[in-house]
Amino acid sequence: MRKSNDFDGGIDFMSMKSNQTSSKLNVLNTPKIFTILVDDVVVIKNKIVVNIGQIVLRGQVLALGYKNIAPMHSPASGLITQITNEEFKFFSNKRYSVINIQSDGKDRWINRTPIHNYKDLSVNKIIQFIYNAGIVGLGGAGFLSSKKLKYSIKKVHTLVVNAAESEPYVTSDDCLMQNFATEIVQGCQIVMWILKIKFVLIAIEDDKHLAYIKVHDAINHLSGFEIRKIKKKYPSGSSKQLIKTLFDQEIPSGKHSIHLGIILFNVATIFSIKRAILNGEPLTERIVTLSDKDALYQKNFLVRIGTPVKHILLENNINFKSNSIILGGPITGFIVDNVNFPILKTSNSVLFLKSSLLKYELEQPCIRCTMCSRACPMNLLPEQLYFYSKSRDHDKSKEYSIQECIECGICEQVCPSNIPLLTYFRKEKLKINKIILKENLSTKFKKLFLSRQSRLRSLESINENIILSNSILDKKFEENLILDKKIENLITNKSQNIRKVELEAAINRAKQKQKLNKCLIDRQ
Amino acid sequence: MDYQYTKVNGIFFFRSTNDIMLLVILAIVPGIIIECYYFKIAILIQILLASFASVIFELFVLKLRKKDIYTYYFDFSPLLTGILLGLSLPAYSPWWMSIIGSFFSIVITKQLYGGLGYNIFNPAMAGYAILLVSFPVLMTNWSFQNNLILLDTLSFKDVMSIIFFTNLDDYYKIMSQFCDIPTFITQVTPLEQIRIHNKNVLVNVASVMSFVDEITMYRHWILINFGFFIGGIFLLIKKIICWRISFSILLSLFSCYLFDFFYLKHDSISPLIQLFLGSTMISVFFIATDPVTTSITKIGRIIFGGFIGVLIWIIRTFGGYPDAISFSILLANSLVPLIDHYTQPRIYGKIK
Repeated sequence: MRKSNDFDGGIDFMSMKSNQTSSKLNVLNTPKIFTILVDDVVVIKNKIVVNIGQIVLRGQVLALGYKNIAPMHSPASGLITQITNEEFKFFSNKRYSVINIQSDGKDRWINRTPIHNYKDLSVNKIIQFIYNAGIVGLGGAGFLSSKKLKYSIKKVHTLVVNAAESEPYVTSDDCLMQNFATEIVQGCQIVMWILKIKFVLIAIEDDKHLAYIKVHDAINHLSGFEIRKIKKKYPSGSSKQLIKTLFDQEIPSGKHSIHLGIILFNVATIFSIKRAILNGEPLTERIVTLSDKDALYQKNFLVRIGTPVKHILLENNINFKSNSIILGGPITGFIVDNVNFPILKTSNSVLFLKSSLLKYELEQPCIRCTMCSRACPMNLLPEQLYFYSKSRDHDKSKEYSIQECIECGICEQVCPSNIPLLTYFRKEKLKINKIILKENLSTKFKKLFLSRQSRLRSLESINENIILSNSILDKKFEENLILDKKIENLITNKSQNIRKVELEAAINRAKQKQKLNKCLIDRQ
Repeated sequence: MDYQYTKVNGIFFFRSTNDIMLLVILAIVPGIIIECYYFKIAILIQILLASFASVIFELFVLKLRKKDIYTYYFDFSPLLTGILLGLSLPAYSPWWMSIIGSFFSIVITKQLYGGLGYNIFNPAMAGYAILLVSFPVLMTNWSFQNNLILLDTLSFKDVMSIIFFTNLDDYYKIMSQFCDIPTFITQVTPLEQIRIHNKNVLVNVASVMSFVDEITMYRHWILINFGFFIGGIFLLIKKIICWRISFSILLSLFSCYLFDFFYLKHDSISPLIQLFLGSTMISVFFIATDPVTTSITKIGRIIFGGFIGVLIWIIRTFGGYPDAISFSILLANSLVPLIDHYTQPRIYGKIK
């Protein structure tokens, strides 16, 4: 199975990870006020189950999930002070409902129900528990873990635990593995039992020796477990590149790794699954790396989800006014304007650096030096994509398969002309998606229109038949040449029925339009 | 939707566009120095003239196009174009030649196409080609370069008077004044010599020179080319230019000459020395590798280079021009979109 240890493209960034400090897990004091972001789609569906002034316990459900959105839980016990609606422009232009919780400092839990005998329960029930605990992929994408599990039942043979933190500065997974190796193995066993998998592969980048040793010790006497070191290279943490390095297989475009029989989970996700099942705790905290630019000050904290970034910085005596703060890795993360922005489920690191050190250089013209296409892990041609997306040539950019871009951001980092390529590509992708959505909608509406036309035509023909007396009824009537009262009644009934049918059709049309409109809102 | 653009200093070392241009200019310097040693100050004057004119034209056109000059668009690319153009002109050509050439290369081939990064043709080579087509006598006038003994007699004043002599008729007179024999006016580079030799089979050719004799005969050309070769190797080590282009040009050119040398027997000079004659090395490492006008795919670059090499050989041996660099590079540039279209790499997860 093991052929190549590498994928095309990619770049070895300077590591910026201090191995001494990553083994230590610091505990952060709980802040007084938590802010929790709830997706606005949930709010539209009236799934927020708490009100202002209500007292909540830790782990209590704040908002129920909906479709692709996991339920949110209270990170601490306290009082709900505010529920507002805000838009964070630096994060994404989506609107979010913000729930503010004032903690009482007592940290009272809800009744936790640990399930030690999970093997006695049905698979669906366990998956339901995982969903109720609000677990999403903690690596970055934030895809629902329960949904992933549900899809991959009876389809997969291998579980890959993704512990390759390829981004510089981030050591949260490293720290997690060093401290909770046995828990991770337990989590793997739960997933193994759910999916009836026999083989688990843990992938670690080769600069994390301590974590490797710890996990290696934990899986030493177990069968079916394997740990493998992979080359330190960005973006080896991406699922596509990881599968290429581990199995020398490529995920076909438009498909998921489940099609190859491989399911991927981040280590942190595995850990939270274990916590959800064996401890009965919903996902309320995660490990976050706090680091400065030179990695001299690098600490890992167990941070409650919903803790404002400001609080973390204040606790560590960091001046957040003279520093600019990046939430997430330095390459795929985003610069935080509003320091009250909370730690999300997917944010694994807080990076602060002197504002002057961030590059805000002006965009120069592209000289087609091919640095980007040499570094692209997907073998795309970013120069061409840049030209086409700048000139809004959607057909051409689709032809050069812009949809395959995994948004790793390497091209932007290596560009000598400081072109924000990723921004261009994201915009272009959004536009293409909108066009596709519009096309789909137009075809749908066209179908509806055509069906309505055909219905109307049939109605007209019925009417014509009545007038021209071509229908069977009328023929009979002609034949008999008798103007019966019965027949008169029949004709009137007919017209009434037609009206009914018309009304029903109109109502149906209106309903379908409403549904589509909702779909549109959801998508946006 | 405005995503933020995060580029943290220090996690990855990269050169800015200006740095790349500066390094390329730095890499040309050894070649220029050797050329100065042989052809005296005239070559420097040409380079200064062309680069100054290019920079002025660039600024002028950017002003006309209402671009933000100081922060946005002004980099070392016009300077580089000017240097390349000045190097490719005959050293004792009149001053207005380099200005016309730089006007054509900067204004028409570069800025009218949309500025840096949008030009289809190599600016320096386009300017050179226009001059070669318009003033064929002046552009093939390498009399001074070929008479090293004559060059020693020229003072700085003479050089200035030759270059800055305005009248064209007087220019010819002056030329004949310095060259004692009037027929020497049309004397040319060794490549032209070889060509004439090859055409007139009766005169020479039967005597095939030895390798050492060839080297001593063309030693100054070989040394100049060697200077550019060293600069090119420096750029290759710094990973600024792509080895695929240069090596495929050299390989295809070498194999063509080899074929010629052993099979067709057009040429009497050994193929290895052919590579160091004329302006081969500067074109291979500095002109053809201009990233803007080359193919961006890996296979495309090899095809591009191979095409240039074959074209150079064809024009040199069968065509009417002694040094075929500019035409072959321009022809290959025009093929780049086609090459790019047919040599797209296989994208991850897609079956081609």
